[in-house]
Amino acid sequence: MGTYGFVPGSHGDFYTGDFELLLTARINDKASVLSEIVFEEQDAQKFGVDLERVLLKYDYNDHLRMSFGRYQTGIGYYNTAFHSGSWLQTTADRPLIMEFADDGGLLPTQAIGLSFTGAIPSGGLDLNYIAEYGSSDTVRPELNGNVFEDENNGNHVNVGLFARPESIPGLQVGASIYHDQISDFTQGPTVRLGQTIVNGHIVYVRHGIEFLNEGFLIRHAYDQNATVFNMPAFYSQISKQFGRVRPFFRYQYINANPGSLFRDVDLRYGPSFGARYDFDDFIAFKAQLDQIERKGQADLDGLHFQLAFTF
Amino acid sequence: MQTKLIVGWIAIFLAGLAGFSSAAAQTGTVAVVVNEKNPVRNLSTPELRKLFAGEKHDWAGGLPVKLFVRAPGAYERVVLLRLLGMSESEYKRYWAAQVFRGEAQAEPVALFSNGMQREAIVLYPGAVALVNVQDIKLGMKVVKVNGHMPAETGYSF
Repeated sequence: MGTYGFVPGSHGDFYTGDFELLLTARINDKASVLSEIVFEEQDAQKFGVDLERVLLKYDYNDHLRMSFGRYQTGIGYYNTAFHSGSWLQTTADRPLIMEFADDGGLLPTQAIGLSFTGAIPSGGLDLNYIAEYGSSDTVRPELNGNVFEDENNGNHVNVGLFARPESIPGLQVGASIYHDQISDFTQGPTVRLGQTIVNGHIVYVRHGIEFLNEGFLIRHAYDQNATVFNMPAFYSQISKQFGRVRPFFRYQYINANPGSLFRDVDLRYGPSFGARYDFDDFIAFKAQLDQIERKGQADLDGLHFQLAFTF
Repeated sequence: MQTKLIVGWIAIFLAGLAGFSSAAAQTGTVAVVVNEKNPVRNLSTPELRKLFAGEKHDWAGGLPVKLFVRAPGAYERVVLLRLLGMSESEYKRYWAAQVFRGEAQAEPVALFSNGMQREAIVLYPGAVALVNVQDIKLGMKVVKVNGHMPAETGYSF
């Protein structure tokens, strides 16, 4: 997969987006390997390599499917539905709350460890579970500068349930809870806090309609004192396919506490409009207009064009 | 001259018959068929949807599911897309996404004839396919859908 466009925040320079190589191989009927390697353009047209995923997968049966290695965490729907594939997304970018941590996102979107998923016998409810244990080791650049925050994560536990009711094909309703311990380096590496992330999502994808809704509550509780930050976020995205064109609308909201680790994010909200045009089944062009309002700062308005393809 | 005319009319009639036969293959009843060794007897519509969406990977007993579908243009393909609620483009994008997510190794094998589907069904114990009832042959086991066989009243697939 590949994407091309302009550097966000620039005066309109072209840049090469992610060039992704997905390699899969079946070892036997139950076991397989998946790897996803991304070449990303960095400063001055230099390219870096990122191993997004490398997984040894073992499907014991439909009720127990295991993965070992580097995975994208099952926090919410978006991260596991689209991974890092821009071509898969309707929009030109990910919602800010779902942005990858190395692009300034708030969530531990990647980790190394064990992941289990499978179906729970539940009749027409079609209930599924996900359970993960691993190390995310999140390092995120602050959005307003070049400071990098190393969260120095401890091992995390993430558990989730989601249902795909047979009576409403295309509907998925789910929730997950994630917990780990991280450091607040601005106060010193020994200042530790418990990070709990609760997600709920309702998604409908069928008959050309895509309706994505996810809400998050990020809770940071310091070990050394009684300080607790509860930071809500959500996004809602709707689109409908009309022939080759898919117009979309997205609204996103993040309310991070200015005293928290996410002080650079603070309060941000606003809509995105745009359309995706599919030249054929594997080449898409996207145009997106963003308006993000920021507390105490000027609005961020942007026009984003992207050519994404898979082969 | 008259002989040529008669031959011409016969040719047109035969071509028409062939056309009619081809059109007939674009309609009719479609059956769900599996390998004869597969113990499955009945599938509900939601179960079929999960099977052909690649969400169900194993049959009861642990036999891996092997999907076979007809190539675009076949009536069975139309029925498949109707079952999944997708257009042809959405179907291709869906499977590209499934592979990217690691949920599938590849898009289901698309075959150009029901004869090829029969060969695949016989060859793979976990195989499942949609076949026009006119083309059901020895080696294919027809599965009930929502408790009904294709010839029975109430069969709605």
